[in-house]
Amino acid sequence: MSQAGRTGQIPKFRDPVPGRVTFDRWLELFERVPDELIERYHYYGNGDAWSKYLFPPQTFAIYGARHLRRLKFDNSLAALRMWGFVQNETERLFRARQIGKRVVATMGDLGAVPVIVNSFPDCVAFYPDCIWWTPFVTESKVLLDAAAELGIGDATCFSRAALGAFAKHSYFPDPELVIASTGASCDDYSGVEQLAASFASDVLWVEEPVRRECRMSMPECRATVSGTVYEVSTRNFLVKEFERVVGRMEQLTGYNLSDDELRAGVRRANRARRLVSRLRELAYARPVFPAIEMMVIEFGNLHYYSDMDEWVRVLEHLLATVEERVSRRQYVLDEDALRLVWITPPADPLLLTYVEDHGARIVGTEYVINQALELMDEAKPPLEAIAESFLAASLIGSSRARADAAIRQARERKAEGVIISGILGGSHCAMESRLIAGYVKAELNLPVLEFDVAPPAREIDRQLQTRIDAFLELLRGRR
Amino acid sequence: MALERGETTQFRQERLAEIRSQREAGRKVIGYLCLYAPVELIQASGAIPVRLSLGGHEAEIAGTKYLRSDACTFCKSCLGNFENDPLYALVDAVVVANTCDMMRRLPESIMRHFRKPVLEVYVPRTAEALPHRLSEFRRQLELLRGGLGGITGQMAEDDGLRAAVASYNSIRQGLRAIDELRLADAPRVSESRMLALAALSWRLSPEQAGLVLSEAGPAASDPGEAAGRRRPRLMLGGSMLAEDDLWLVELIERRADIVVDVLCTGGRSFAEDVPETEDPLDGLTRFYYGRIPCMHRRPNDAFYDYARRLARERRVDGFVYKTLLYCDAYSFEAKRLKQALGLPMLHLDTDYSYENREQVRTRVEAFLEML
Amino acid sequence: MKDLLTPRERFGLLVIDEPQDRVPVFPLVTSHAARVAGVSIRDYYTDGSAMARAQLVAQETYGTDFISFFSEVGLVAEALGSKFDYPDDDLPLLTRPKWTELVEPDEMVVDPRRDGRLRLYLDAIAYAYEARGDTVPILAYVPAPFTTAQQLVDQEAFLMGLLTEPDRVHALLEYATRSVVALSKAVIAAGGLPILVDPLASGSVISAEHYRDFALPYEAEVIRYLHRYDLDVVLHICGDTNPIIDLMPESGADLLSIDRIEIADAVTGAGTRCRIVGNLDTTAMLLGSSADVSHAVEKMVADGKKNPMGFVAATGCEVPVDTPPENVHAFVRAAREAGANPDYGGRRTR
Repeated sequence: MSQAGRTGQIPKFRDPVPGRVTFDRWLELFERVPDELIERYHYYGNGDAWSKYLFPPQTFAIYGARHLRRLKFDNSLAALRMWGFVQNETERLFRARQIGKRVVATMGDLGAVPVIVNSFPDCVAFYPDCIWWTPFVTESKVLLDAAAELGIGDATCFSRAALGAFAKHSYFPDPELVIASTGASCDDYSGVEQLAASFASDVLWVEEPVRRECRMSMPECRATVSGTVYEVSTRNFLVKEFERVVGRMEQLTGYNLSDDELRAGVRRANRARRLVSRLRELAYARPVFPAIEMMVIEFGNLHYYSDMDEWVRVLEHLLATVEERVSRRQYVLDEDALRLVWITPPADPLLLTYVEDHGARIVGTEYVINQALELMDEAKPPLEAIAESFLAASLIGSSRARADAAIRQARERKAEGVIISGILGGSHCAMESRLIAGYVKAELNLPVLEFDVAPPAREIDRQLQTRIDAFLELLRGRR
Repeated sequence: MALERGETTQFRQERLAEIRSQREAGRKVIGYLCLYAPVELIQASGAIPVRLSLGGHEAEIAGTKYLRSDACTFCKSCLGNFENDPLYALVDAVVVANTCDMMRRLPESIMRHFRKPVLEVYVPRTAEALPHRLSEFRRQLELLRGGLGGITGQMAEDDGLRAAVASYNSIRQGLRAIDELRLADAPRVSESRMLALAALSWRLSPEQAGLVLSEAGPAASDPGEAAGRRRPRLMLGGSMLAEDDLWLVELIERRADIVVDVLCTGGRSFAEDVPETEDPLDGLTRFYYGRIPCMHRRPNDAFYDYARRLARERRVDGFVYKTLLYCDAYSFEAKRLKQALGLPMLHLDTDYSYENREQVRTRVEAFLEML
Repeated sequence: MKDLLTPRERFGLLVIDEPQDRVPVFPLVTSHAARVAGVSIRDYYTDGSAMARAQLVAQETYGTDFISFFSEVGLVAEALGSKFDYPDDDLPLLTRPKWTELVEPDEMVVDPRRDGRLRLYLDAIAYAYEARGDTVPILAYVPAPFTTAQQLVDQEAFLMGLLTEPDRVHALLEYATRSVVALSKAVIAAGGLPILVDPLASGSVISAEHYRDFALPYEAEVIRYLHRYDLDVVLHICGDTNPIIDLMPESGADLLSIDRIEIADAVTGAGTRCRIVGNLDTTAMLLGSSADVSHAVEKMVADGKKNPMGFVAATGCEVPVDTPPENVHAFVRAAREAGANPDYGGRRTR
């Protein structure tokens, strides 16, 4: 693969008029993508054929991602690139190991630890947690059954799929190190971590402290970049935890990480976070980009789908596309669509397609990963900056704090309704959902729809469809 | 004196009246929800510590007003008991140890729905007692000390703490002495008696508990009807077993002997003593951080070591593992525990409802038959 | 013994060059599935849901690692206009090719939703994909241009044309290629992974030079198209592939499905560039005893496992329709045992 092909002028490809297209339509559109573009995009800076990733949803459907057939997609080249990159991740992780990178599983913290891991040369961090989507994407209970054989049955969070994946050794290479964060965290996933530890050659347990309520007027309190208030002693505690992460990574790699290198890692991660922040700002203010792609983008801040550099390039491409649409007022959904805030990510992405197909759009999200969206203060020592950003985490504080985050967005974007999706048996869902719904109703006087996502299936449960339809009708009636 | 159920009830009623009367005289009642809540600190702050460990079907149903049906059974009943139970009504504040996720989130519901102040103690979930973790946990205890002092008007000073440590250690020793009578081939104390004694000991004042235990010991040492019989020897474990949720224990004890348990309301509550250190807060920090862990700790290997050791020492034939519905910390570990112990195991996953009791009875009988 | 991995997981590892829990097992059960499911051969290849159900039953019965759809190599030729006969208990037979001699071909490109039996083929793929596509790869044989071309023209005229009218042959091959690509695209849309099948390009039919000049370039063109989708392409050529084994990888195929060639020779000729699929003699499957089949498979797998790029234990060609089921069971059993990888997964659960 020549350098010229990669760094030279991008082959001409004009995006169609922006819109959401079906799976079948992508097959037609892909036929127009020139070979040069397919040859252009590689991950890990590699030039081999295996590192290409610009492939349509059909490719991944053939290899088992059956649910893709039901979804609707943004029809831009940037979105195609994003999907190909994301769907390719299992192979990418195995290739990482094949080309000599160290693969480290980070679990539970959802955003902080990969910043450290990725600062080390030739190390790749990934979240087995994200495998919770796999049963839905494949419309399959294989991983859930595998988890059941190991002791985690139904009526628990779908994140148990990660345990099934550990047992199979075929969804990611056996990591050289598992960094398992637990503490003020979800019980289900902590349980998964404990059982998954049996499959790991080396486990480092990291504490996620609780974020106690405090106010800026108190001397021992500070605020994150976005304004979440925290206790300094908690941050200092977390720095100590992250020092252990650095120490263990140094032991693993035989490499002494300098402060400058860690700072550089923070800056790179911040680059991704800034891009995502801008995308959120644009896409939730105007209907220029669909919700499923936005969810994929937000979750990219966790571990950059195992290649931070290439993921940043994908984000840049996405942002350029969205900015152009904004400037041309080219929308993919009705401007007058019902405006919703969505709390807790739906395990079944088809739900987002469904609400968009039925005249609604997402204008705000609280996807339990607030810590991954939070910018790190580059003026601070790097571990302090990482620790501070983690203290904006969604699940370590009160349900009130999560509700407040959603309420702020709902006010700013004039939301008309709030959806809270949960999972039957998920610990934080069971304890938080009613509280959050109560806070939202009290503050905003908005209708709230709360439901549990059903187990993987071809289509959305009929009863749930009815409930969503009725909810959207209610919102229309209030206009 | 034999602590049959009737006498326990009487003790409880008397104690309830006494607590009410002391409260009216100005003493604060501080409820606590978990083994990780440092009862010595509460005592030394001049408050009456009361472990809130009731369950109950009606309470569970009442609790579903506040929490979803898939919330932990105990958490639901806790809220239901705050609504209806006379002891819970006397509680001026609650100390909640932030252990599992469900327990960590319970305070917000308590505060929102019952307006009771909650003092939260964050117990690091990671079990390795690294210096900075111990230091952070100590800070949590100091915050708790301050919080308790703010409620009772009395800061727990070192002397008071040392005295409280000694008192509660004495309870633990007393319970252990009685528990060890179960080592015998014909165990001289039943599990239901042990659990009743433990619950009562934590309900009464330390002095009262000491008296009860001093009398219960000699009474229990008489082999009585147990002499000469050999029945299956069982270990009992699982989620938090509420003090009013003993029907399963009584059911099993008709045909088998539960010779040890690894419950937080049973054996684990008295297995170890707080070290009596010069700086009592230091001893408390080390003790509560590093005590035989609840299953939610990470890693939880120390729990497994403890269970294996006890199973060996008590010559256990089988293991009954009772988890509460939606108690992930314990139910997730059932399979792994079975493999680790290498014992026949009966896993029961239930809530407090009465409907499934017949089914449970059948399964218990089949299990005991098999043994 | 229950497998740790599903067939799909296993295949997924193979194609990204990762060790699997065992060698994937793929006796080429195509029309034989009709016997297993108790449907007539005719129903099998004229009714998409009958074909799919038969494949699903066969895969479950034998515990194989793939579902594969195939009836005969004339599928595209028929859709383009060649005539076939449909016996009740045998595969379609070419009765009249579209052309009796090499001509300038028309502009036709098949419409897989409408022409010939392509629609039922796609229906069968979609049915099986929906039923079991999460756990089992769904493969669909697509006749390659060279084989298709030989079903469009009188075969003698075609073979003579390789010598006397090469330009016309190339025109015909380009014509066939367009329709092969169209069918491939439809297979992709249905969720199937195309296997390119080119038996009339084997050493049993043509020389290595003719393979290189007339078959290989068009295989390569179809494979280039499939590689745009990053698909792992199996090229199946049954018959004698000794003369062409070192050329076959130049098609770009990722897996070579072979027949009458020693596994060791296939590994030498192509093993560093392609995974090898094969190659138990189907006559042995039909006529041998179960014990014979087992022994032969053990040896085959022992040799095939040495392939650096990976190996799939298969038959050299389709399992004959009337193969005794116990022989297929013996094949699968022996291949699983001989192909087991005890080191898979490394550290086991504590």
